[in-house]
Amino acid sequence: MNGALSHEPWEELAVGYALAALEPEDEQRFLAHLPNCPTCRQTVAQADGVLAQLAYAAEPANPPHQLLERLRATVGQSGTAGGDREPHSAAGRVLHRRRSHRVGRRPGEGGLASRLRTRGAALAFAALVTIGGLAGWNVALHNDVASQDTRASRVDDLLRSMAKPGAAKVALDEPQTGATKGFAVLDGQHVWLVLDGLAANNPAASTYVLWQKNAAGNAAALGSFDAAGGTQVVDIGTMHPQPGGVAALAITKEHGRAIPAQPGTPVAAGPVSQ
Amino acid sequence: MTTVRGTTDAYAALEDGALVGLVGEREGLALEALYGRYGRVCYGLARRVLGDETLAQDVVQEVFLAVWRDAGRYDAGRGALSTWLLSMTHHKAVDSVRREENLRRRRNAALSDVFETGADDVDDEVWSLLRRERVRSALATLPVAQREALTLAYFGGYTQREIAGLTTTPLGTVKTRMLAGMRKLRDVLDGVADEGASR
Repeated sequence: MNGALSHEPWEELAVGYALAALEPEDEQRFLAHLPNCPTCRQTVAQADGVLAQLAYAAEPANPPHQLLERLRATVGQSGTAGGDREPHSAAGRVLHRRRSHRVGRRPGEGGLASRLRTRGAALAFAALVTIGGLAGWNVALHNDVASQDTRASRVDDLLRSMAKPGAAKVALDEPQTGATKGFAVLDGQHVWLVLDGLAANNPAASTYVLWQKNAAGNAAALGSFDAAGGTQVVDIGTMHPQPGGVAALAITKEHGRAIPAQPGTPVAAGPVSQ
Repeated sequence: MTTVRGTTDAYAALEDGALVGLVGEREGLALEALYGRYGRVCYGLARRVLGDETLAQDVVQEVFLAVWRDAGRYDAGRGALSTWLLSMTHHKAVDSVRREENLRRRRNAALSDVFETGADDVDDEVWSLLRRERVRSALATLPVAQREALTLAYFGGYTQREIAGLTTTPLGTVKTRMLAGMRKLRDVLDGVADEGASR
């Protein structure tokens, strides 16, 4: 269609704009066009969303602590447990009163395989490295020995699941924004969740539920869990596939502690690739 | 190295939008919580583009100060908070790298694979692995020329004209490849296209 073809050059500029790859004169021309073009605004927004995912290919890394101190100093917060003002929110006031410093953590030395406690875990990791081509990790574990053992053991099992032939890794994205809130790992027998940024729930009042849906759209619960906020690995348990296979997964947040017969509105969902 | 997640516990129940709202009300601890959630990925991206840790720190500070100064600029209707932060990070990193004008470093940054993590939490490591796998699998579905155009722009900070020069390709072809590559990536990451296919 002539209209679509004539607009293509603008969409090329839209992608270039999102990539910050335009020459100054092209950027000027595009910025004059953008306010009057909803198509291009949508193209830029979609490209921004794609590029935000591309950012994760760059490998997140902890900035030095002094960066946080610089930020605090600039926004007027002191670097100690006592601040200058009581925050407005309840969350802030709680943190303000019992703020603690988790200082002194140091990155570990050596690769992940040398830090995990079990030989089986090291073999699982080696298999994962071979399959994924990811050599040379350098990962440190928490200094808390007791939780370190528990978490390392849990991650051992997850890594084994991920390394199994045919294991599916399903991205679970927030419907409204497209933000990835987690991944489900299905190895045919077991289900894991790796979450990041799913808001913590109040265990006394609500529960999260992971659902499977078949091609016909019929839903069945795989299990429930509580989110702690931040990054966490959750062992959902044994998988019981429903008739028709698994076409998609979804996470809902349900009132109370019981799993309902049907899912509520998904907070994150994704298709299962074949 | 101190984890950036140490201050976020009390804000764990808050959605990104609520957190940004508190930043808009001048709650510094809410800004710290946002930094705890997204500081790592922003720093990793800036470091990859710039190839310089000091410059990367400057970029990340600029990003979070921009949020502090004008949290109201974030519009949840236009996309995720992470998208907004990472877009700002990328643009500021590219501005910085162009000021530095070190072409060789930019090319190395664009094409290199960085595996060092620097994280001190296994859950974070697994999360990073899954995210990295997902995007790399998606990139692998692109024809080489499209992938090259996108990665030279995104990680190398090159303009379309510079990429045309580097790859000895007409400028119009570079623009077409970027648009086609972006559309393909969008479809793959949305689960619309078969991630195993490549042309």
